[in-house]
Amino acid sequence: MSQYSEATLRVFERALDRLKGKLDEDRLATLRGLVAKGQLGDLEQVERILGPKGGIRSAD
Amino acid sequence: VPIERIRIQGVRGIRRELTLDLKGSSLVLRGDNGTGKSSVVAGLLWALRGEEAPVPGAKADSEEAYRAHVLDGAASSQVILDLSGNAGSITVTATGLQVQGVGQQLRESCVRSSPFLLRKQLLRFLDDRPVDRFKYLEAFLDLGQADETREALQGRCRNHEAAAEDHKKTRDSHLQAVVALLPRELSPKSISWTSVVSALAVWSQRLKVPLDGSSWGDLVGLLVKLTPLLQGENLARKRLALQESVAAWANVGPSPEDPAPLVEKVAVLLQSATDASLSTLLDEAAKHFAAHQDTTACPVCQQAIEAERIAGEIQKRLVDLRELRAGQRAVAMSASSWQAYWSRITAAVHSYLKVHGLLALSDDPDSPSAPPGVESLSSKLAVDAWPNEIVRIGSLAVSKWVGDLREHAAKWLAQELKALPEEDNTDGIRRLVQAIELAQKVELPVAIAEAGAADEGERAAGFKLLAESIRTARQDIAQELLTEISSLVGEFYGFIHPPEADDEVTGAPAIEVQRRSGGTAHVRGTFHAKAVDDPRWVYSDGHLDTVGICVFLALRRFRADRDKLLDPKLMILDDIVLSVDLGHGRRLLDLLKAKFSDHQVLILTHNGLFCDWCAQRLPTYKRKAIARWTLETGPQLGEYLSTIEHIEQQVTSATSPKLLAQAVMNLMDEWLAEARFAYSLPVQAKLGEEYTLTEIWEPFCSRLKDVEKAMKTPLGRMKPLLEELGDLPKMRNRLAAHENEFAKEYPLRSIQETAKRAIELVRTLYCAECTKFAVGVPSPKEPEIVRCGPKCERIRYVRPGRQGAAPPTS
Repeated sequence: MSQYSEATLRVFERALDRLKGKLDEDRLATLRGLVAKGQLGDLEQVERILGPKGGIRSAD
Repeated sequence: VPIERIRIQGVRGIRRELTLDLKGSSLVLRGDNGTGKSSVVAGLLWALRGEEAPVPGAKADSEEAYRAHVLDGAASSQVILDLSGNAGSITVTATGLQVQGVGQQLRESCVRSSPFLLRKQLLRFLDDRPVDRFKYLEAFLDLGQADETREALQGRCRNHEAAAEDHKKTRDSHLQAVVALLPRELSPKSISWTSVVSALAVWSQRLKVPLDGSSWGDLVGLLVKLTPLLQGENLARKRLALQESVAAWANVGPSPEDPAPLVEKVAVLLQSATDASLSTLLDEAAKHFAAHQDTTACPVCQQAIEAERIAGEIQKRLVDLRELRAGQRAVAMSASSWQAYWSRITAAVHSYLKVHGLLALSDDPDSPSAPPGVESLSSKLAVDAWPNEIVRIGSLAVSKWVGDLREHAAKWLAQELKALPEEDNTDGIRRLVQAIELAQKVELPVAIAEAGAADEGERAAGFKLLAESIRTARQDIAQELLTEISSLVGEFYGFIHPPEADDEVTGAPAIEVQRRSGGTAHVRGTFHAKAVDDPRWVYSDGHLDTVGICVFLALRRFRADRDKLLDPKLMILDDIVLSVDLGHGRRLLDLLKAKFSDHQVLILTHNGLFCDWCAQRLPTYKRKAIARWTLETGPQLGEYLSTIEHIEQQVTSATSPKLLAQAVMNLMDEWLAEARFAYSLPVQAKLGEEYTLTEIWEPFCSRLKDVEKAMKTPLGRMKPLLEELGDLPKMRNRLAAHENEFAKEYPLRSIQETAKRAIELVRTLYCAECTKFAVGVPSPKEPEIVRCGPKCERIRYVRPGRQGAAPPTS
């Protein structure tokens, strides 16, 4: 379960909504998964998602 | 989890340990100015937020250090907060912080959003710049995790940007050596592989070394071409060779005529004149016939002959023979022409192949295809064989092929000549070649560095995109949340200053949040139904204080609602009603009761009337009073328990009636001052509220007798005690007398009895555990009960005939 406060969750969800059209749906979905798990601050996972060539891998 | 107990020592004016036993309840702590209320707040600030930590031993040359001077000789500084149900504790000492259980959570929450509202902060909100006001409000929004995450993303973005920059520096250091060879005016403003290659291409054009294109591949091709040319006299030789080849091709000239008609004619003539050897004889016969034209018979055999016909035929045969000889000569000439022509072609082709660096025309894929049979044409071929070979191959085909070949060669030679650098630019070209060679050496490390920079840049861009989106979203959400808070501020302000009230001229303040400068918060007001940009222009001090109070309460309510499980639901309100009149102060208490019943509220005030209102409006709140402050002890709570114990000891050991009486009077002064609020005694207001029992005793006795009368049951021994202590005011006034005079008037035994009765009276009407006076409980279920608290049974009087009377427990 997410450890984020309600306000922080709202911020992250709004931020990802704003990225529609700038990031493909797969990446956005993976980022949303990180938010749900309270792991958007896990920079290694974020880098795998946003890094060069868009290596969409398991965000585990 | 509420705070069970607060213990403070060695903080500002608190020297010995001060214990506030809250038992999880809210508290109203009253104390006059200078009795240590702010020291209590300082201790709580230290424990809950790490602020205002005392600094023992420091020179008193700053505000913070000056505060520490009171610590000299005091016990070590420490604050201990015990939480209810042994759920945890917070202990701060000069050496550090210790938290147990949910104490950690409480402290973190208080650090995130301050539960403190101090008098000095009331106007700060309005006095702050809009930017600072926005920051203050933001602290309550619980967006710390979003900020931390955004900062982490930005940090990683910066790391990648720095790594990309390092790659670029590496690339630049490689390319700098190449750039150093470029003419100054061609040095690129921004160094990159592309810009350097572009500059090299421009340089080559300036040196009249035209490129096929401007790519790196073209430059490398140029290098391959130029490197051998620049050795020794190769450039001049190459130019000469090209020019010679051009001349050789020019020397080829037009192709000879087609020998086919001549060959065909000779063949026909040969058929008709198979024996050419007779031509001489025929010549002689012709001469004979010409000399003897009149002869009709053969001069040899004398046979008649047709001389004219024969002469005609001979003449005709002679003509044919002459034509045959002429034809054969023409064929021979044609053969010579074609042989010479081919010789010139061969020379031109050889020069072309040589300057081209080819072994055969077949090595030049762009050269035109030779017609079949051409390979048989050679300088070794016999002269007379040429016409037939040409006829066999076809002169037209040969001519066309030679024409195409010449055109192809001429074009190539012209290009080569054009591409050939001028000898005047040789030095520049050598530097160009050097630069290209150097670029070739650094090509791989530059490519690696540029790839690294691009990779790091792309990673940085990803983090930047996300961080920036979070930043913008955070602004949006903050704006939305602050709009909710603004609505709460308006609601609370309307609670304290109802807009429908006749005398109300101010309207609820509105907080307008804008994104400018990272976020600004403006406070707008209304005055006489007219919008006011800044409430400070027209609002009274009391109204402005109320704005500050409502903003804080709105933020607190917002946080508590947002975080129902984790919010500590704690408020510490220090002297916030200084400018608020009691009518509005009362509504403030109603607001606390209506909206903050889930909070543990610590109210510190010096205002006795406000304290009295608290007792009436907020009956569940504990009340404590700071009786006095001394440098030796710090604040002393008027809780009477320790005072009673002290007096009880003195009753048996005291030798001075006046000293014992003094202790008893101090107890009664303080206790009755408190009783004044508990029983709403009609005592005239007094500056400083420093009452003595002399002023309170009569109204107190009168009120208590009324209560007992209404209850129709004795409140313990209250009535006889009041009568037995009837001499108290007089005794109080006699304390000014000399000790001997006092002892004469009031012997020790008399004072000892008075002390015992005074203590008994206090215990009859005051619960030391609840720190509350016994008051009537106007409950529909229990309309005739008097006790100190809703659950406490220590002081409990019930009207007989209902539930029986219960005497107070001692």
